[in-house]
Amino acid sequence: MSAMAAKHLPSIPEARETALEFVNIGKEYQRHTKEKVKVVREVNLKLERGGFLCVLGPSGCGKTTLMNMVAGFEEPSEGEIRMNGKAIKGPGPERGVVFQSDTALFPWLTVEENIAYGLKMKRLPKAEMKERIHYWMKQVGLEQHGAKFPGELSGGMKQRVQIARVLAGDPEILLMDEPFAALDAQTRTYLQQELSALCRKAGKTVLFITHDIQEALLLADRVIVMARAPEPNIKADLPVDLPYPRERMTEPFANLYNRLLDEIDNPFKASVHVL
Amino acid sequence: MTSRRPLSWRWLIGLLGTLCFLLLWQIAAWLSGPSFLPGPIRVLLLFFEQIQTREYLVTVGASYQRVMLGWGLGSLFGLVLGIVMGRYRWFGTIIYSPMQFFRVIPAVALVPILVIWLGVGETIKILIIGYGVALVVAINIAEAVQRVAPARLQAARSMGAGPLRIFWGVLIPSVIPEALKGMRGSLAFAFMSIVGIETLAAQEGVGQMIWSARVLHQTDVALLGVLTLGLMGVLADTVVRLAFRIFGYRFMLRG
Ligand SMILES: Nc1ncnc2c1ncn2[C@@H]1O[C@H](COP(=O)(O)OP(=O)(O)O)[C@@H](O)[C@H]1O
Ligand SMILES: [Mg+2]
Repeated sequence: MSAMAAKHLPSIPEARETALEFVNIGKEYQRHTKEKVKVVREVNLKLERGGFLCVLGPSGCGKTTLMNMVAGFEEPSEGEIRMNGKAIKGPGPERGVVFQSDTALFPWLTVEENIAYGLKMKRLPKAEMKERIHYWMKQVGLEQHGAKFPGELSGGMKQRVQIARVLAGDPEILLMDEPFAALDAQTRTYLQQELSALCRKAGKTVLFITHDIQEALLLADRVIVMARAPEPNIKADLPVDLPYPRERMTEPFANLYNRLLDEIDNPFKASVHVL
Repeated sequence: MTSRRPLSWRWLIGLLGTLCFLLLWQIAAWLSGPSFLPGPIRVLLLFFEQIQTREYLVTVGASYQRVMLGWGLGSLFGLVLGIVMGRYRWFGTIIYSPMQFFRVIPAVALVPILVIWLGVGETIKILIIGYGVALVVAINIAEAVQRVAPARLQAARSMGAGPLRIFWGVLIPSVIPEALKGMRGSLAFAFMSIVGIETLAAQEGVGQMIWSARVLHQTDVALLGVLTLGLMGVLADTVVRLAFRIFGYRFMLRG
């Protein structure tokens, strides 16, 4: 079969490597009333190495559940998630997680110590650890704030600490669950731009969860739309073929925006026209 | 961190309140006669006289030792028990109902049975104080553990922290503010229970001093005991609070 494929499709550039693969993933929860609810249903998906995938969907459709399974915080009830071909079992530092809530930081540790937390467990040499911490503090614009405690930082700065903490650990895959959802619009825009640049520079594979269409289109090279039960989970899967850095006020952006708006089951459906 | 300025005002007002209280007490003493109700001046003079005697210091030392030992050991036990209760649901569920039951039983009610088992040594006194302290601290901590943000625990796990690291490095630091609250509350409780315990079985101690004053109608000695107890409590609470503020500063911060 592969010989045939090779014969007929000789000019296809080699397919990019798969970093993460969802094979028939399902997740069931038991409600208090004992009835079972299938939150995640038949998810089959392959993530390319170095790709930036946004998972878009209304709240309650199972985005966090999906990410928790990749992070290893929860086990799928059905199917298998494979990373580099091997099934995921439990959490691990090769999958870095950025949470929506800043409670994920340790309030009793300074910014520097928060970033050092994961590195200490990797038993890096002291000098390398220091270097990495300072590199990443600089990358996220926190070099002046290393000695501060999280309680002394703004919401945007706290999310920067989370991002630096995860990237300093040099994970293969970055998992982000609505990391900017609680920020004001201005700060969110800055952080989106910075994250986009950082991830392209570091060449990380990213799984980014959001319910914000604009955010998805600013960041992702591919967007999947999730729907609530009982519809099938993955409703749409489309590439975003726009050059980086992205600009919002362009026609292709608006077209994709409207397309995604149609896909999301939004009770307040209305088309937006730009230009 | 609240600013310093209002603090000095509050301090002054607090002092004023204390002075008012002392004044009223003195007036009441004048009206009733000094052997019925000794005034604050008389009690304070007695205090300054007594504090220079060895006997008084031994009395205070004996009570302090009991309270602090019972409170310290009880807190430590309560802290560990509370964390395990909060962390492992099944254990918490098993132990929670019996604890609710024991929580309403005053330590003093257990004295007779403990005397029969253990005799009237120091152990029993420390045990009785520690019992109450451990219950309060454990219940406080168990609830605090359940309130630790799931994201914080998940973050630690995903960075490679095992159960032991999570226990010492995440759970304990996360519940320190609650622990302080529980420990300060139960410190007051420990001082309250010392009087009852010492009246039942003790050679020396402040509780014993208060109780035996009754025999010779020494109202001033009884009040000296009360004053001593209050001062001991305030001193211990201040030391504990300062120690937490100095050594536990970073753990008292909120994210
Ligand atoms: N531990 C759980 N037990 C029971 N139901 C859960 C649990 N976690 C999530 N759910 C339910 O699963 C659904 C999807 O949740 P979630 O993945 O958090 O959605 P999203 O992140 O897309 O908003 C919700 O209806 C939620 O109530
Ligand atoms: Mg969610």
